[in-house]
Amino acid sequence: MPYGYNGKILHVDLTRRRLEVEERGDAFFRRYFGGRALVAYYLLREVPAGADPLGPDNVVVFAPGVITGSPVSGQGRNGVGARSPLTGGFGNAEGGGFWGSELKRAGFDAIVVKGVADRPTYLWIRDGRAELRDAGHLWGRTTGEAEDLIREELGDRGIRTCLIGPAGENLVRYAAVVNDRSHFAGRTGVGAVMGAKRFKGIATRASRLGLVELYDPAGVKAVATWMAQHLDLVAGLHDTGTAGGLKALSMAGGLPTFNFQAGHFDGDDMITGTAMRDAILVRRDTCAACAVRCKRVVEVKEPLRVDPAYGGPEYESLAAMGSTNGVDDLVALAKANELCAAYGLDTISAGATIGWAMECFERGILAPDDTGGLELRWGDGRLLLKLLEMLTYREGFGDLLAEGALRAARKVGRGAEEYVMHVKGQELPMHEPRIKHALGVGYSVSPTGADHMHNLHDTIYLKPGRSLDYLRAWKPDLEPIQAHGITEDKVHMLYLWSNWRHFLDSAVMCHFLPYTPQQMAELTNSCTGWDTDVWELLQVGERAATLARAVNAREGYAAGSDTLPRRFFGPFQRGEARRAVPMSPEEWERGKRLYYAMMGWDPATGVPTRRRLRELGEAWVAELLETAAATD
Amino acid sequence: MTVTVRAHGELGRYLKPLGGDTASVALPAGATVGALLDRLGINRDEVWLVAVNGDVVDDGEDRRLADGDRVDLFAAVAGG
Ligand code: SF4
Repeated sequence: MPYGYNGKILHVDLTRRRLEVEERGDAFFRRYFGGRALVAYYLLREVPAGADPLGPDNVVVFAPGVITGSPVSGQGRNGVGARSPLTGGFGNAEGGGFWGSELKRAGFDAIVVKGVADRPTYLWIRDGRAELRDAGHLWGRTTGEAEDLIREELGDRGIRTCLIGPAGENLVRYAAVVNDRSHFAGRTGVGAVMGAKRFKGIATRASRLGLVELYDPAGVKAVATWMAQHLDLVAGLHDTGTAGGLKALSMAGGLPTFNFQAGHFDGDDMITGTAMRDAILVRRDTCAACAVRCKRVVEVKEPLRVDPAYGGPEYESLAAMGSTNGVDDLVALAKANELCAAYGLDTISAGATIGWAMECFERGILAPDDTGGLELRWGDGRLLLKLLEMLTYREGFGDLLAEGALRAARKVGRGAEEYVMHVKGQELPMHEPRIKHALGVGYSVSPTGADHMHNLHDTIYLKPGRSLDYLRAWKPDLEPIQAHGITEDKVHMLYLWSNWRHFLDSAVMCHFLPYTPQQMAELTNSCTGWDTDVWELLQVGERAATLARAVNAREGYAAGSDTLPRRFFGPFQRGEARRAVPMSPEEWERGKRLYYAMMGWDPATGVPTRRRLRELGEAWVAELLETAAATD
Repeated sequence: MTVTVRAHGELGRYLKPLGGDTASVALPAGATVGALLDRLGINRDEVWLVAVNGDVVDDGEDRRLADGDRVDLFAAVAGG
C-alpha cells in the first residue's frame, strides 16, 4: 500500500474511447513525483518527435504530486502539460483551487489524455471510477456555465472541475486550463491542445476526505500547525494579494509599462493590491486546505458587472492587461480578468499580445486597415475588453491576436517582430530584467519560454533575511548580492533556486508558502514514508528541468533559442530609468553558458549530455535524443 | 516633527497594530528614515525601497526627514 499517492495513472485514448490504468510504485514516484517532472516524463514517452501540438499525437497530462491531497496549506495545486502550441516545445503550467486535491483523493495521481474525440467529450471521475461523457451541450460554454451544467446533470454540487472555455475550443494558442472556474493553469496554451482534442475537461468528485493514506499523519499535522502559527509571514499576501508589490515595482522602474518601453506607470496607484482591496474586494478565496487565503474575490455592479464567481485578478494579470497596455481602470481590469477566467485565456499572454499590437499601432506598423477600423490606443480599458472577446472568438483582427504575439508579428511583417517581448514564442511575464539581471538569464533558459516563477529575482537577495537563508540549505556561504550584473555566484543561485522551484512544481506545492527546504523534506517523508532530504528533492527539480529541456531539444531547440528581446540591453524608450540598468549582452551570454555547465548540458548546444542524463538515472532519454538527431 | 508613513506589501503588517497601512509618527527633529524604522519595529533588512514625498531616495535609511514628510516603505518582490 503506497503512502501519499495512489500508484495509479489513468490513460485516456479519446480516439478509441478507451480508459486504462497504469500502476506504479515508489521507484517511479520518488523519481518523478508529479507535476512538472511527470509531465516531462510522459511527453518524452508518449509524444512522437515532431507531433503537431494541435494534432492527435500530442498528449495532455494532468498531474498533481505526492504532496497533493494532504491536509496542509499549499498542496492544492496541480500541473497540466502538453507539447505547447505556443512555443512548440515543453508546455506546462500549474493551477490552484480544489480540483487537483480532489483528483488525488478520488484515486488517481495523474491523467494522460491522447487522441482526438469524434465529438465534444468530458471525463467524469468519481472515487476511482472513470467514464467518458458527451460534452455537446457544454461546447461553446464558459468555464462557469459548463461547471454549473455538469454539477446539475450529475446531481452533485460538490463536483470540482478542470475545464477549458471557448478560447481553448477556438484554439487560441495561449488558452488556459481553468480549475474550479477561477484558478488558472495559464501559461503555454495547454487549453488549446484540449480544444483540438474536443476535450472539454475533467469533472471530479471524491466522496470521502483523507482517501490518500499518509505514512505519518502526525508529522503532516505538525507542518500544518506550524503554518497556522506563522501566518504573520504571509499576512501581506493575505491582505493585498500578489498585487501588494505592484507599487514597489513601479517605483523601482520594474513595472512593465507600454509593452516594456517604460518601467514606471503613472497610473500605478489605481491598480495596486491596496486599491483593489479598498475598492472592489468582497472576500478572499483559497485553495484546498490553505490557511493563507491569498486569492481575491471582486465584485462590481456599475458601470460594468463583474461576477465574483470568477475570483479576482492577480499581480500578473493587473500588469499584463493594465500597465503593459497603459490601462489604469481597475474595474475594466477586473472585468478583463473575469473574461479570461470565463473564456479560459492566459491573462499574461493575452495582455502582452495586445500590448505588442498597441505598440505596433503607435509606430504605424499596424493601421486601422489592419485592425478592422479599431484605433489601438494605450489606456483604453473598453478596447481591451473588446479585443479579449474578438481574440477568443477569432473575430476579425482578433484572429491574428489569437495566434500569440510572435506568430502575429511574423504574419504582419514590416519589422513588427522587433516589438514582440517573448522567449521561445511565449510572451514575457510581468518582471523587468533591467532591475534584476539574473532574471534575464532565467527567462532565456526556462524550458517553457520566459517564466517568472522558476526564476531568480535578484532584488530579494540584497540584504540578509529569509530569502538568502532559504538558499543556504544548499549553499551555506551565500552572501547578499547586487541587483545588477551577472556573477558566477548569481548563476549558481539561479541554478539552485530554479531547480528547487521545478521540484515544488513537481511536488506540487504552492510557491507562496514559507516552508523551509528542510520542512519540505519532512513533509514529503511524512506523506510517503521515504527518507528523502533537501539534496534529493533538488535533484527531482533538476531532473524535471533536464527532461523538459530534452523535450525541447527533441523538437530542435538548442542554445540559439535561449534568447532575450533586444530591448533589455538598452535603456527605456520612455520615462526615468529609476533602478533599471541595461543588461550587458556579454554578461548575459556568459551567464547562460555557466548555467548550462552547472546543469551538465552541452556548453555549445545547451542540450543535456548523456553523462548528466545517466547521473540522473535517465539514460533512456539520451537514447531518445540520439535517435531524434539521427533521423533529422 | 511628525511624518506620515505608509507601508506597502509585506511591510503592511508592521503598521496594522496602529490601525492600517498608514500612520502618523512623531519623531525628534532631523531624525533619519532608519530611526523611523526602529521606532516602528520594522526590520531594516526587509526594506527594499524608501520613497520620501513620492520619490525613491538613494540614501535610504540615512535620509534625514523633515516635518510633514510622506514616507513610503516597500519590501522587495519576487514572482507571483
Ligand atoms: S498561498 Fe494562495 S495560491 Fe498558494 S495555495 Fe494558498 S491560497 Fe492558493
